[in-house]
Amino acid sequence: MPTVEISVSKLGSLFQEEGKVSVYTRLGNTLLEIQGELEHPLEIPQGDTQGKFTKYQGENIIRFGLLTIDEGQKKATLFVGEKQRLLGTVVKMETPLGLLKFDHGSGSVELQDIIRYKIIFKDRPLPVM
Amino acid sequence: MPASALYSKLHTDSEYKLLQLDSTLLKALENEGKLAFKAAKESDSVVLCSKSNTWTLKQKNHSNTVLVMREFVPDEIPKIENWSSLDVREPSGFSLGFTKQSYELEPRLTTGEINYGTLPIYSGEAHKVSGASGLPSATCLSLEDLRKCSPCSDEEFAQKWPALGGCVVNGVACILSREFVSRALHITLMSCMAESLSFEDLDESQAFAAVNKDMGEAGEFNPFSKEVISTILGKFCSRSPLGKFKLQKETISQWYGIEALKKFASRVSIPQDEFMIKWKSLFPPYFSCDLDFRALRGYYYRPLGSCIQYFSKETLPDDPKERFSYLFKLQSTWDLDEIAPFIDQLNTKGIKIESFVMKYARRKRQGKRITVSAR
Repeated sequence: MPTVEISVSKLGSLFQEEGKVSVYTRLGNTLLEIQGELEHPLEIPQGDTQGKFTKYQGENIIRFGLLTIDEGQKKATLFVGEKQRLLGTVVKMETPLGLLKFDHGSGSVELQDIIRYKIIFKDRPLPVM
Repeated sequence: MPASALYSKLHTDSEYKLLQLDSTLLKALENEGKLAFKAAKESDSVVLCSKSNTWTLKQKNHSNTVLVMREFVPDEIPKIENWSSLDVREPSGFSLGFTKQSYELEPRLTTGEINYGTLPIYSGEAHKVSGASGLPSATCLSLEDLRKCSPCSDEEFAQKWPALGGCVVNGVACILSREFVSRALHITLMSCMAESLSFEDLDESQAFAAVNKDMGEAGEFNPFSKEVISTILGKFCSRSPLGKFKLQKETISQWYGIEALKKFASRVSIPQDEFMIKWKSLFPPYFSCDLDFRALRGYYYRPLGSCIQYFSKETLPDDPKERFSYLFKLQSTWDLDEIAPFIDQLNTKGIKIESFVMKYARRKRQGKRITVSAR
């Protein structure tokens, strides 16, 4: 260590809170919380994967679901895979969360965003008929 | 209803963390634009510092899935038929979960501390900085290095460092010994009075010049360097925005009082009236300040009713029960005001001291006076 600075040079405008509810921050980040586990394979399985696995910037990614948010930005529905449906809400967090990125190579820390809202799914999943 | 397709990295990034930004932190970030993580050593717990405040960080674990996602455009747009079964239209946006978080960092405002435990102690000898408490391997750090590794914000550091008696000798950060501080204070006060400098509006360079007027003439070693005088002024004065110093007479009076207790009342107890005369006698001639005996609470006890004897808080046991029984062995009945400084640090929950003593002792009210005795 012993001292590492958090730089926030890019973020001047983020401190002003927007009046309206916004799930995504101005930098396009959002926070999804599920009271439970979201399991997906860590490696691409063999066989037909129905196009679920792709690559993005050289990394393997999985398409795991679909999210819809109502127009009032209050209620959210998350479809996980093709058989499960979760009902959730958009809530404002009591204390905003700062997203810090630690760069171990250069030993620097950057505050990348301030997240004020999250989409939380507290209930058990419902089946999709 | 607009829908967005959710993706996640198979191996999420581990270099992200979530920090709760409470109003104090948010304000500091907004005003100063930066914060710093600090730790004494790699293995020590980390604090967060702004220019003027320090926060400890607590890791709050949870078992929920917390996925931080960002909008992106995948290289391959999935086909429409994949979505039709879910009764929603084609996704209009795409989000990629890039990091999973199993905890949040919770900041708590605290007071910054300086790691002075291993610093050398300087007592004014020529070119010698002795090891702390006789340790041969006292840490030799520059002031800047000490600042960097102290879990303390810069402003708190600037305030606490002289108050601790911290000084730089030969480029090494060290703590001035109590005896040396006493000597330097005495000489500074006498020299400033001799030069008729105002204690209300003291200039550091003038004070230094006054102290050094008759020093080191015969080429002998003069321990009262500019840094030492600066520490003395920092410790016993308040500083105006213009950089001038104003003598804090209460602090000086207390310092001399403790010295007097150590000198005249450490082996035997002496009557309080006699002590007041001895206390007054220690000050430089013609130096006027009020003597407030209450300022010495926490440094004496009364073994025989009215007589007082010096006693150091450092020798008390840390365990609350043991500490109370030790204090009652010294003195069977205490005034609440006089016992309070000895037990303050045990009251970690910040309860009213009157209520706190009842946990371990008996409290009695006699008119306005509250006494404390063993149960």
